[in-house]
Amino acid sequence: MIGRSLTRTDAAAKTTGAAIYPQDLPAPPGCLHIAAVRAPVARARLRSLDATPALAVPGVVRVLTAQDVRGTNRFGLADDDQPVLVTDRVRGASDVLALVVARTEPAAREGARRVGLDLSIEVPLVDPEHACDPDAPVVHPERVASGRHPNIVAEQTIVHGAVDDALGRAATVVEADYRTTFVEHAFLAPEAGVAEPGADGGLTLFVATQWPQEDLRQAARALGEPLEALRLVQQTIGGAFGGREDVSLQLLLLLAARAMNVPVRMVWDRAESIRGHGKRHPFRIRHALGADRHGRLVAARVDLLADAGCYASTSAAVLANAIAQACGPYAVPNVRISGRAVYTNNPYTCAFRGFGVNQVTFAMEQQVNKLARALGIAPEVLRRRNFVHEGGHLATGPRLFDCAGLEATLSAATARARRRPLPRRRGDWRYGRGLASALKNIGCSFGFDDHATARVTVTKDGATVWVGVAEVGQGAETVLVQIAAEALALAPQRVRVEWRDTATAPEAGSASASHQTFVPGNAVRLACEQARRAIALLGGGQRLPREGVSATYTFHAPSTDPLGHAAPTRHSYAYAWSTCVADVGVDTATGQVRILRVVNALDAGRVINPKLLEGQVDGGVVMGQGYALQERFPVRAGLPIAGGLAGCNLPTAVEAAPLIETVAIEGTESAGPYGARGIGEITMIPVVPAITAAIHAATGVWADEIPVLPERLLAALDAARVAGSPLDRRR
Amino acid sequence: MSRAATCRVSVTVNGRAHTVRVPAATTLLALLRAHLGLTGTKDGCGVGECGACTVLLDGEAILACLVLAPEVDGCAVTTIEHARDARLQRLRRAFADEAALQCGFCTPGMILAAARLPAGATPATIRAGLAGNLCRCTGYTKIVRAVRRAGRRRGPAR
Repeated sequence: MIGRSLTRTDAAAKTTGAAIYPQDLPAPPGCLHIAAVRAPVARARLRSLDATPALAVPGVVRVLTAQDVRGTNRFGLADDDQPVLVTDRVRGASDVLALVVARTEPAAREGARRVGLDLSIEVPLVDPEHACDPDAPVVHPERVASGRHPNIVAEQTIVHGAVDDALGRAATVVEADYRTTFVEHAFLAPEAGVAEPGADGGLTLFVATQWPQEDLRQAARALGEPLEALRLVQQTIGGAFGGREDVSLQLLLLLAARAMNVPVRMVWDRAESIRGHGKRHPFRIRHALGADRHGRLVAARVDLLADAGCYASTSAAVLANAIAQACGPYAVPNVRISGRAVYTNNPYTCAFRGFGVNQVTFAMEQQVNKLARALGIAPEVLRRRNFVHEGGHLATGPRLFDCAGLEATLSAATARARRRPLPRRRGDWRYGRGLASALKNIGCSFGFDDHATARVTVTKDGATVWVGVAEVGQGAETVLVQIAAEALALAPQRVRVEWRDTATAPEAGSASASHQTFVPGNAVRLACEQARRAIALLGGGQRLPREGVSATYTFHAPSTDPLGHAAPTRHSYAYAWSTCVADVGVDTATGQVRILRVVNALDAGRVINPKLLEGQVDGGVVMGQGYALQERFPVRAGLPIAGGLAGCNLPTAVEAAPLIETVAIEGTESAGPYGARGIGEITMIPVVPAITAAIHAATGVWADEIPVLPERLLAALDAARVAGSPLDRRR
Repeated sequence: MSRAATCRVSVTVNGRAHTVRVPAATTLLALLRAHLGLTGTKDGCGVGECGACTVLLDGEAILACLVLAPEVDGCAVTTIEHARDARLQRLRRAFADEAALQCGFCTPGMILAAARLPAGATPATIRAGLAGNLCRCTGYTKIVRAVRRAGRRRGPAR
C-alpha cells in the first residue's frame, strides 16, 4: 500500500457535488442567522453602540454585545489578546463589535449595517519600523506593564561565535535588505458554519477548521463554557493553508447559539473572509553574509522585523521558526540572528504554508546566489561546499541527521534541469535559469509536545480508524487509509478513517507544520500494529470476536528544545529539504515575467502516495510563483483594500507554470511512518529565490523585494540600463 | 426589497423541470443552492471572480452568481449533480484518476467549465478555457491533465 497512487478517498464526493462544505449546510428548523458588526476604521475607541436601529429592521430579534459574553471574552492561539466582541477598543480589520441575530440572513446583514457606532477614531499604527518608537501608539495598552515596549509581540537573538570579526576577515561579504508583503490565503471556500444547542445543554459546532480541539479550548475560556459541553463536527474543508488555524467565526456561532438557545447559522462572503482571518507576515530582512575565498561561509548577520498586525496569533512561533531557519541548510560557524515581531493596527498575521521560513529562505538563498556570483563560483558548487552534512551543526546550534538527501536534491534538480535548454533571446524577451535550496522543519518545534492519538477497531468487515486530523485537501484521509491498510495488511477499501467528530475522533494536533502524515501517521500505524498483534494472539482474523479488536496509541514526536536553549540537541524533530530550478522569460520592454518550467527535487522520505505528493508540489510551486511575482494585499490605514479575490491577483491556469517536474528523493527518515516525511510546506519554500535567481540570470537585476511586479522590475531594468548594465549584451 | 417584486421562473435543471417563485433579484446561484437544494454549485465570491459557480446554461458555461434567476426562465441548466451526463462522467473519472482535486471546492466549477472545451484541446487551449476558474490547491497541472485525458476518452470532436 505504501508507494501506490491510491485514488483519493474523497474523489467521488468532490466530483459529484455530494461533499458538504459549511456553506452547504441546510439551516436547521427554527434556525436564526447572525451577522457581524465591524468598524469602518482599524483603530478607534468604542464609546457606545446603539442597537435600536438594527432592532427596527423586520426580522432582527437581538443584538449581542460584549456584555453578553459570559467568559473571559478573550481568545488566541498563543496569547488571549483577541476579544470575541470588542469592549472598548478597535484594533484592526478582524474585530467584531456586535452580532445581529435575525430570522433571515438578509435581515441579519441589514441589521448589522444599521447598528449605530459611536467611535473616537485614532490614527492607526501601520508601519512596523516605527512600532517601537517612544511615541508610537500602543496597540494593547494592557501590556504596558510587561517591561519591554508594549508593541513587541516577541523578540529574540541567537549568537554563535564572533560575527563582526568573521565578517571583517571574510574575503567577500554581501549585504542587502529584503522585503516581503502580506499574502491572503485565498482558500476557495469562505468561512461558514452552524452551531446547535443540544438537549443535554451542550453545543455542537459544524464548521471547517484546522485544529478542532483547540477551537473548543479557546471557546471554553472565552465564552465560559465547560469544555466537555462543546463538540465540533468538521465539514468538508475548502482549503486552509494556515488560514483556518486561528478561530474565525466559531466563537460567534457558539455565543449566539447559547444566548438564543436555538441553532444559528453564519456565512461570510468573500470580503468578510478577507477581513476576518489572518495573513502571511510581511518581513523586512537585513542580511550580511560572508565567505572566504574558497566559498566557505564564515558568518551571517541577520536582522528580522515581522509585522504581527493587531493580534499575536502564532507570531512568536513564526518568528522563532524564521530565526531557526534563517541560514537555511548551511553550516555557518559565526551567526548573529536577531528578530522582532511587532503589533500594528494592520490585519493580524498568522500561520501560512511555510510559517516564517519562506521569507528568510528568499533572503538567504538570494544572498548565497549573490555570493556565488561575487566569488565566481557556480551556485551549485557553493551550496555543496556549505551544506550541513550528516551529524553536522545547523547555524543555530542543533545537529542535523538523516540529511544525506539534501545534496541528492541538488544533484537531481540540476541534472533534470539540464535536460531542457532555455529558449534563445528573442525580441525583448530574455531567458534565465535560477537555483535555490531550502529546508523546512516538520511539526511543532521548540519544546512543544507534538502528539496525536489514534484508535482503531478491526472487525470481520474491516477496520475503522478514529483520528482527529483535518482533511484540508492535502489528502490526509487517503494517506492515513494507506498507512492503516499497510499496518493491518488489509485492502484499503476495507479501511475507513473517521476524522470529523470531536466526540469520537481523538485529538491529532493541528493540520499545520507538515505534521499530519508524520505525527498522526505514526499514531495510526502504531495503533494498527498493536491491533494486528492482538489479532494474531487471538489466533488470527477468523477468531475475531463480534465486537472486533480495538487498540489506541498516542504518538509523541521526539522531544525538542526551545530556541535560545544553551546547548540545544534539536529545535525540531525532523526536517524536509528540497532544491528547485526555475526557468523564466522576462519581457524587458514591460517587466513581465513568465514562468516556463519549474523542477522541484525534494527529499520526501518514503513516498506514500506519488500522485498526492506531485499534487502538493504542483500547488506549492504555483503558490510560490504567485508569492514571487504577482500576489498583492494592499492595506490602507490598517484595512485591506482588496475586497475580493481579484484584488489579490492569484495565478490563474494561464499564468501558472506550464511545466512542473517533481523529483522525489526517498532519503532516510528514521522517525516518520514507514520513513515518510511531511512535505506540504517545503514544496513552496525554494520557489521564490529560484525565480528571483532566474530573473537575475535573464536580466542582471536582483529583485530584493517581492512580489516582483512588472512595474517594479521595469523600473529596476531602466535603472540598470542607465547605469550601463550588461543587459543588452547578455544572452 | 419589496415582497411583491417576485417572478415565476420555469427552468429545467439536470433534465428535471422546476417552477419556482423568487424575488426578481435572486441569482441563478441562489436559485440552485437555496431554492432547489443543489449545493454542489459553490459560492466562492458572489461577484464573478473565482468561477466556483460555473454551470451550463443551454450548453454554455456561465457563472451562476452573475445571472439572475428570471433570466433563465425557459432555459436548461446543467450542474455538477447531473448524474447521467456522459461528458461529466468522463471528467469525473479523469479528475479522480489524475488526483486533479484537493480541497475540491473549485472542482464542480472546473468540471463544468471543462465540459465545454473541445475534445483534443491542447494544454494551452485548456488553460485559456479554465482561466476564469481559480484553484488554490493544485497549481492546475493535474486539472489540465485530467481534462486532456477526458477529451481523449471522448473520441473525435463533436
